[in-house]
Amino acid sequence: MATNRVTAAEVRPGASWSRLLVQHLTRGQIVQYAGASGDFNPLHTDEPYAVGVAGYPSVFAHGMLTMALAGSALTDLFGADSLARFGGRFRAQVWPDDTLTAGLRVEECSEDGSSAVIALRVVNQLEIVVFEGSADVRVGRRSAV
Amino acid sequence: MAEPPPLKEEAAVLFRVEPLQILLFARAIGDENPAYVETPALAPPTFTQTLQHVLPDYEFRPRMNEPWIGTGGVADRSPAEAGPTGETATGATLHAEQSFEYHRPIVAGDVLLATTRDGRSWQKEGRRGTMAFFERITEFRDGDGELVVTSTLVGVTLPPPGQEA
Repeated sequence: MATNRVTAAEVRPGASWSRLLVQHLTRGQIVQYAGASGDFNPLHTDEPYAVGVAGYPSVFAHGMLTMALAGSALTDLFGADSLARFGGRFRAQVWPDDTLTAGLRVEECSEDGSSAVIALRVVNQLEIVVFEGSADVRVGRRSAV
Repeated sequence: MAEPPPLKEEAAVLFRVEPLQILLFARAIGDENPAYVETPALAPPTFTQTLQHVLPDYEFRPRMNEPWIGTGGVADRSPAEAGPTGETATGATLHAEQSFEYHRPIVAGDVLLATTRDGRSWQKEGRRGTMAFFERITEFRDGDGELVVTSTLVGVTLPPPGQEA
């Protein structure tokens, strides 16, 4: 949210932040994401299928839900219109009741300080990395919320 | 050997950016940033995933009275009938990586054309055999043909179980 935004002066190489993304993820939120995104894959929405047919311990979250939560950590810090690029790799599954935390770190800044490369890593409550990526952000956008 | 799923070159699909859809998406990711409810609302960074609602043949959309890969429905795959390895006989395809390039922010009211094409493909040897990686690149362009967002999915198809290299 707007109150969490960093100032341009805070964005220096090596600066880092930690953000709680979700505490005890619910099956309800996974279903809500399915409805909003349009991805109703039964691995995420149909527990008898996920367990009995596909052989998983339960349904699990869409990788894109985790990436969206990570994206919120970025827009929270840098502004809703600050991203020029955002990408990453899905490293492990996210299960109901998981608690996810994002670590963000400034890898480099442009000379004039107007843009930065942010490394981002999302871990669960067992410190297992579930998503790892990076983003190019514009710093100090006046129009950003 | 694992093969990536076939992609037919899709015609451009119209992607209308609706304020309510932005609100629903922001709620689903627990994001209360006021930018997503202002007028015009900005779209969150991964919002273009909602294209799944628009793609005519999207495989993970249940359709009433048609076979569905989950349980229930007209071609029920109840756990008792399908057995514990029912889904993995042909090898599973997973979402391995995802990236977005933002050429400008998406805002409510945008009417974009989305076109998906194949990108690179490559293989890697894993413990279970050959894994087939593939890219699917979706470009979202505005009415002037200008790129707004480029979305790149990397998928991986794992070899079927029991066929170790």
